[in-house]
Amino acid sequence: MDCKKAEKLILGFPDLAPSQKAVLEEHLKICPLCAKEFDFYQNSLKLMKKVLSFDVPENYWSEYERSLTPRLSSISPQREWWKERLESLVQFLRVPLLGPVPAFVFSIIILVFLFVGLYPTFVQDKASQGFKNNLVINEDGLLSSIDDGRMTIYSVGKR
Amino acid sequence: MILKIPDDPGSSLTRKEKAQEESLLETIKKAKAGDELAFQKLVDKYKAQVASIAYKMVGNYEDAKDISQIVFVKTYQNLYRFDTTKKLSTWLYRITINASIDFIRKHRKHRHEALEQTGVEIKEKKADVEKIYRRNLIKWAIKKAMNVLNPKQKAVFVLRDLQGLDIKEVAQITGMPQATVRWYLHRARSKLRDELTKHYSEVIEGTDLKYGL
Repeated sequence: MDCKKAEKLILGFPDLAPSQKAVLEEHLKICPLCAKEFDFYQNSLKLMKKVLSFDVPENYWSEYERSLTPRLSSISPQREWWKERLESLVQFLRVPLLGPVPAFVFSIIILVFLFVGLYPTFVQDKASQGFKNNLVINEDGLLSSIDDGRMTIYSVGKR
Repeated sequence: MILKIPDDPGSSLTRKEKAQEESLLETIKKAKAGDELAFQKLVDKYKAQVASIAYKMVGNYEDAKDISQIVFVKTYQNLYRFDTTKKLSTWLYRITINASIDFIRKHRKHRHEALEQTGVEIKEKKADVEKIYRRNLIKWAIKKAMNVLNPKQKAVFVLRDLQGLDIKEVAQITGMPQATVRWYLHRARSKLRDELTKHYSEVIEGTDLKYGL
């Protein structure tokens, strides 16, 4: 193992697997520089734990209680519960009651227009089904031809 | 050289621990229902841990007191939301970390690097001035070095390396994936090591833990 990898392992020492710790230990035996760095970091960590340990004087907790009690008594968890419910109700009421309706109505109007516009294609008059090139075939009446000048109408009669 | 393997946090609970957990759950349920005495019990149980984390984050006893009280006020207000299937400590530590980060951000510009004088220290000062001077020097160096960490790096470093929580719990508290926690942790350790080596190696190397620091 090279020193660069050892450096990573030194920093990650508390989280290493036993096998990684063994590899690191082997390297530290043969590399005085890494061993020095390991000792320095471990010593620093111990110092940090010691220096930042929470050793407070005896009166700390009595003062603590004295200042916490009025802070807690000024609030009530039940009141907070109701306050939140009330706030959510107010929030709900703030949303315009008909806010989302125009979009909905608008969509319906568009659909109605589309339906009305396309209605003739759905219900085509059977009588004009054969309309093509100025030729109309009317299914009522006997077969006969009527020439009205511009178009020819054939009527097919039912027997 | 002694290599210390960290304790396995996943060990099964004993009967006594189970009974304690059940009793705690009962207390939490009572507090949720508005029982003030039950909440006071929870404060008594967790105040030292909460204040300890806050102290490690901000480096000042009075600020730690203020932050931890804010934590309990917030907890009291929002306890009805707490899911009793989860760990209360995780929830409390999360509020503590967030409150500490808020505090650091708020007071970043107005911070004074004052050395604290607790009652214990003043009493000892008469006995050994040099020892106190050395202790304060180390404190100053370490707090100064900790200031190079950004709030997230500081949070994961405090929880994992100083408070001794496992990575999984740190991830739950900070709301980060475990891989991200590992990354922040590596950055924090690396920055701290660099800072201490660069500026405070003489102070650290000349300190012997045996002499009651």
